[in-house]
Amino acid sequence: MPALVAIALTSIFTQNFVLVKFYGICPFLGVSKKVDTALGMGMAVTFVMTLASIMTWLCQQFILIPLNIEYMQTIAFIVIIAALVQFVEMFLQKSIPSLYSALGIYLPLITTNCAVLGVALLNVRTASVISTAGSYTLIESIVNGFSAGIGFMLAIVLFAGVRERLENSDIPKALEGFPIALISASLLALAFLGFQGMSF
Amino acid sequence: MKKEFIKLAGVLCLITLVAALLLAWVNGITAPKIALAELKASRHAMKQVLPEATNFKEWENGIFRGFNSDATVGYCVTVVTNGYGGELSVMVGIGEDGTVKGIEVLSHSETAGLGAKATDEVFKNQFADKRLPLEVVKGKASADNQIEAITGATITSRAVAGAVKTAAELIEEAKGGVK
Amino acid sequence: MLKTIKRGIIEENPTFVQVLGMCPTLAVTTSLANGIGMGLSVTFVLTLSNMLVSLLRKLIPQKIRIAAYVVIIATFVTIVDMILKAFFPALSSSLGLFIPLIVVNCIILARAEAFASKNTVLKSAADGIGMGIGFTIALSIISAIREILGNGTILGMSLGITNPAVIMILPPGGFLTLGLLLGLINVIKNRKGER
Repeated sequence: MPALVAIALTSIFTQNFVLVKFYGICPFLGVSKKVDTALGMGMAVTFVMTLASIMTWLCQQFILIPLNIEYMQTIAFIVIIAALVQFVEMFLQKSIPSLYSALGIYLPLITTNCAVLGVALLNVRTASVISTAGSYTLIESIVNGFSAGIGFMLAIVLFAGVRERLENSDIPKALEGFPIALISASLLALAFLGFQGMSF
Repeated sequence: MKKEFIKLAGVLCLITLVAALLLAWVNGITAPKIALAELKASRHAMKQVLPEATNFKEWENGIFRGFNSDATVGYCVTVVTNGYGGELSVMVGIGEDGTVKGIEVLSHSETAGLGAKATDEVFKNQFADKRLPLEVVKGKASADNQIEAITGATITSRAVAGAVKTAAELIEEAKGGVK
Repeated sequence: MLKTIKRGIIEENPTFVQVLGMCPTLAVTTSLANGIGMGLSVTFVLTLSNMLVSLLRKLIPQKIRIAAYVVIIATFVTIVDMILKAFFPALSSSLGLFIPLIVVNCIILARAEAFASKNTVLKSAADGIGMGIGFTIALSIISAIREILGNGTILGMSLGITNPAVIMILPPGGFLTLGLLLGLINVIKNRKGER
């Protein structure tokens, strides 16, 4: 149990997926103008990341390794993620329309969010803490996928809060838009640097 | 509708199949090269940490024994420990007399510019001919068991010194088991 | 031909003008060698995938085109990954996970969809090379600035700077460098506009 808590806290704070490891920068910059859309994107990403962690882990352990075709990893994982996103979209549309109307528009963007593929690849490449041999176990992968998603959500929501305020501020003309957003992100990353070195 | 679906699935399967065949072919060419590069890298690291040895043989528990002609001159082993930013993998060379011969940082995720300086020659060279138990000091080292900490990265320096201690213990244990 | 290449480098520079593919742009630009390595890897994948997508543009059914593009791109990325591991192991380990992550680099999919699926093979190749070089140049500028200021070196050679600002090669420095560069480009653009 402590090992799982450590994985979660590391993915959310010390090794925050967006602000420390630079995964998922595109949606972080693109969908962060308003806090509520940022929250929607964050939830959709967390949902897909958790599912993707499970599916890619199963694919790695039961298909790629037994068949000795680990070089197909990148292709297999991206296809799984794309199919998963499509499936989640169809499922939500039919079964939970309220959730679909909230998250639906963000789903297609998630396939090309490198945080999702990133977490899937990390899961099968990081040495397990629980078992002595090999990479993350299924439960570690799930915890890692979920908390990396939470880390993404935390970063994007905080950032959207900053950007909402920026909307009404007087900014030098040359810095309007992306430049000021990136400089704000830099300060946010500086704050997250404070978590570095905390060991759990 | 159904016919179209089958056709689409067929095209996609065909593309994937061609991709798989292409990758299998490239993999066949590069896999031995990758293995060779890894072997070369690990041999190179062993040579760095145990310069006296001319050849190495795997001994036990992942420990390698270094020979010069037929005499054993020392042992090297890779220890994975926790640094400041995450996993820190260090190869340690220990002489037959129990002194440290050298270290090599194989992989790390320490802070660039601070902890990452553990890979610098200046820091690594300090370990040559040091006696155990090691002590990490801030500022100048004055005894032959002291290691100068990297400025601003005491935790990383301690982690590396800790890895050396673990390596020495592993080697002692293995020696005890054989004799 | 040359015009297509130049367009990718200047008018439609993927990093500075289109602001695409930000993850590797920020993550691997801690040293010039990394920046160039990543830039060339992307150029390789982009050119080949553009060519193949263009070649197959009439054969791939509209409905599954994105899936097909993704498989094509992933194949070339895996090839680059293998080649780097076999011949440039040091570069491969310092770029790490960002090599397989080229698959989801928006630049490549965007060019396949917006350009290669509508143009001839030769034009698509030129577009890929242009965009690739534009990306490489952008990464080189960012990484050179960060390496000089943050580590006091260039391509690993010391410049005699005794107290480099380490923050520049840490994550905040990445955001800051790109933000200020984009600001600088805006200044230049505005000046030109006024004239």
